[in-house]
Amino acid sequence: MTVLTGWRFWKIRRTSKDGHLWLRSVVRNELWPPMERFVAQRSSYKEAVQSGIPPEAHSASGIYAYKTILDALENIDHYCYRGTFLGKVSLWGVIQKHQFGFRAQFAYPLSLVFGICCVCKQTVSLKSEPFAIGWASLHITEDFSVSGFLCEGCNEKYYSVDMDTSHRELAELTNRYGIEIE
Amino acid sequence: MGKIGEFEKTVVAEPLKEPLPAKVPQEVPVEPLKEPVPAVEVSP
Repeated sequence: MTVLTGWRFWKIRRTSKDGHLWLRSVVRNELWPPMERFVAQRSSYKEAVQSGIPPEAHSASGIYAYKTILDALENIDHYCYRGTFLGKVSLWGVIQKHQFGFRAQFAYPLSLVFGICCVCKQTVSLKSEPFAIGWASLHITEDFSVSGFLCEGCNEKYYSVDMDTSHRELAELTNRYGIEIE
Repeated sequence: MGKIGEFEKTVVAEPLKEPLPAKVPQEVPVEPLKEPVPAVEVSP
C-alpha cells in the first residue's frame, strides 16, 4: 500500500528566535519540521521515544487525521479548532484505520485548504476568499506567538489586520514547507 | 485531534519514496573569472 491522504487541522506558530513560521499541532505543542517527515510520538512527555514508534491498534497514539473533509468539519464545534488551518496530510508507515480517521506513524502536510475563523468559525477558502492572520503572544511563554485565523468580516469588525501581510505570511509558510494552497 | 470513531483495522503503507517535497538546491554564488585582461594599445 502506498501513501494515504487524510485531513487535519494545524495552527501556525512564529518563533521569536529566528522569526520562522511553523505548522503546529492543535492539541499537542509540537512543531512540524519543514521538508522532513513528522514522526508519531507515544506520549507528549519528554521521555517519549521520538523515533517513530508505530501506533498500536488499541491505543491513542499516532498522528491523527480525518478520512474526509466532512469528518473534519463535523468536529469543529466539539474541539478547539477555532482559528486553525485545515488541510490535507500524507500518512504512511503503520496506520490504524478508524471509522472517521487515521492514526499514523509518519506524516507530512500536503496542502492547506481552509482557515477556520477564530471568532465566528466560518470556513474560509485560502485560495479564493480574503482572510487575515492575527498574532497573539501566549501567556505561557513569550518565546512564540500563535496564529488566529480571521474571516474578512470579523477582521474588519474587530481587528483590522492588514490582509496583504497575512497572505504574504501564509505564502512564506507554504514555501518553507514546499506545500500548496489548494 | 477530535473523534475518529471506532478502530477498524491496521494497515501498513510503505511508499517506495517518502512523500516529501523535493528540496530546492541553494544557488551557489559563482565567482567571476579573474582573468588578466590584456592591455589594449591604441596606435595613434
